[in-house]
Order: sequence, then C-alpha cells, then structure tokens
Amino acid sequence: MSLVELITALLMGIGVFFVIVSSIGLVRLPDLYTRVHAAGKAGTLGIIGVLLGVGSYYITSVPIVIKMMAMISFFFLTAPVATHMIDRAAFLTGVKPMEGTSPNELQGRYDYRTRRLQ
Amino acid sequence: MSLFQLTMTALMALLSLSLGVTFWRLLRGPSIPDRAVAFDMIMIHLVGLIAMFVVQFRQPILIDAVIVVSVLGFLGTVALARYIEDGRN
Amino acid sequence: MLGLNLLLALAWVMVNGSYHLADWIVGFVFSFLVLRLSWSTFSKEPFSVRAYFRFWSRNPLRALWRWLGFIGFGFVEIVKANITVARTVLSPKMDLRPGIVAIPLDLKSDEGITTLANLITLTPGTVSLDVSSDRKTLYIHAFEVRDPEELRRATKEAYERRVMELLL
Repeated sequence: MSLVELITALLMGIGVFFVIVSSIGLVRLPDLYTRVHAAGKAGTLGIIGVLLGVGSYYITSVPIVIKMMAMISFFFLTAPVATHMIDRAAFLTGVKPMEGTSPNELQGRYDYRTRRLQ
Repeated sequence: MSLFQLTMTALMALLSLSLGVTFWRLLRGPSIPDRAVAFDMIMIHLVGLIAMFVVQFRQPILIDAVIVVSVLGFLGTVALARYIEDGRN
Repeated sequence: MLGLNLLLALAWVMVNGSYHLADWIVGFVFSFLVLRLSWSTFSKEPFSVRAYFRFWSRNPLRALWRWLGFIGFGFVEIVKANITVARTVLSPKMDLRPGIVAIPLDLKSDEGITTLANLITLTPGTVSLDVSSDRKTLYIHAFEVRDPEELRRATKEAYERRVMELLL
C-alpha cells in the first residue's frame, strides 16, 4: 500500500464510521427531533470524509480536487438546510417530541392557519 | 487483489450494511418526516457508495454522477419537506 | 459583483476541465447573464455599471482572512459535535434530556441569521428548528438541557458573537 492509498483508506474509514454511526442513531434514538441530530451531523461529516478520500486519491488531478472541494462546501451549506426544513415540517404537522422534553418553548407559538411564528 | 482494494471492498460492504439499516427506518418510521430523514440518509449513502466505486475501479468519470446524485438528494429532501408542510390535515 | 462573476467563471472552467482563454470568456459571459437575470436577489439597488464594479467589502483581504478563521473554527466544532453524537449513539444506555429553547437574536440581517442557524446545526448538541416571523427569536433543539438559561448564554457568547464579527 502506497502512502496515498493509506491516507485514502484512512479518510474513507473515518467517513464510513460516521455514516454508520448516523444510521445506527437513526434506528436507536427515541424520537424524530433527536434522530435529526444524528442524520444532520454525523451524516455530513461522514460524507465529507469519504469525499476527502476521493480527493486525496486523485491528488495529482486538479479538476477532480476542485470538484471535491466544491462538493464538500455544497454539503456544508445544504445539509443543515435540509435538516431545518424536515424539523419545521415535523413540528407543523404535529409530530410530538419524546416524553421528558423538558423546556418546550416552541409549544403553542405557531399560528397554524397562517403558519406564522411568534 | 491488493490490500488497498480489499480494504475498499470491506468499507463498501459496511456501507451497504448501513444502507440496509437505514431502509428499516424508511419502512417502519411512524411519521412521514421520519421517512424524509431516512430518505436523506439513503441519498448520503448512495453518494458515498458511488464515491468509493470511483476509487475502487478507477473510474473518475463517475464523479459527475456523485455531483448529480447529491444535488438530487438535497432537492428531493427539500421538496418532500415542503410537501409535508402543505399537505397537513 | 465582479468578484462573484469571476468566481462563477472559475467554477465553469473547473467543471469543464479545460483552461483555454475561450473557456474563460464563455464562462464569464454566461455567469454575467445569470447575474444580470437574478440581480435583485443579490443587490438592493437597481442594475448599473457602478454597482457592478463595486466590491462587497472595503477590505477584501481582511474579510477573506476572517472567513477562513471562521471556517476553521466551524470545522473543529463539527468534529467535536460528531464525537459527542457517536458517544451518545453507541453507549448502551441512552439517557437523554432533550429540550426546545428560544434564543433572542441580536443579529439583524437574513444572511447573518442563516449563517448562525447553519453553525448551530453543525455544532455539538444543538439543532436549529425555526426562526420567528419577525426575525427576533431562534428556536433550537438540544440533546442535553440541564439549565436553559446557561444554554442560551453559552450559545450567544460562543456563536452569535463570532457571526456578528462577520455579518451584522
């Protein structure tokens, strides 16, 4: 195994580990709002690790490295947005948080008809 | 088969296993937003698998497929969230 | 706006994969047309040559340096967040104490609030849920809420202050 291959395997291993963590979290965690934590954070870092692995494997080819950088910034910008949209849609459709969500300061703040938030 | 290719194959197998775990949430999920989260994760798995395929079989042309799938995954999640919001009650 | 145009031209050349002068010109013309069509989303004033050649920041190098520092800080926070998530998910017994907390905002602009919301989503233990319609409160969901006041203070001090240095 050459050095490039070693670095690639290492980065991809880290990435795959975090993707697996997020999918285990998706199954084990008790309610939607905590599952979104797992999917939004661990999924993002995991996919970034895999893409960094691809970039380091083709380190001599400038267009591929640039494409990977663009992909990584794309994931940084869009993964949180997708997370917010799902969370907001869930709260508006009345998905209940788990038992023991102690301060729930969003409860009763929505005007469901006009979809405005105080 | 070199050690590197063996490692890549093992990682791809692990990722496929994790994809199966995510499918369980897609099938079971008590509410539609749960399924939306599972869909988002499935798209992430798909991007990862194609990216590892690129390295394993030295097919850099497939990097464009990685870009397309990731954009489609984001747009699909956003569209699904808008649909859930508008379709309530 | 000229800077954004050059950035889009660079993206065009990179995705195309060839660096001839003709590619640069085609990319520049196309991105100019796109910017002209979507002018009102980027700038409040109407289109003019002077508005096109104005730079965003008075001191672009210092702004770039600050953004790089901010991105580095964000990356360290993301790695920390993932270690926290991994520890929570993989521990055999999960004792969670989640909560939804309202945070009053000092940031005014939409760009600043978006950056703060994205940063909060990617940092340890918290995910932003929604912004109130008058842009004065941000609602966040946290894994572990022991003391809501403490969480509110920590978020404002650690993250909102940093974003305010970049965008008001």
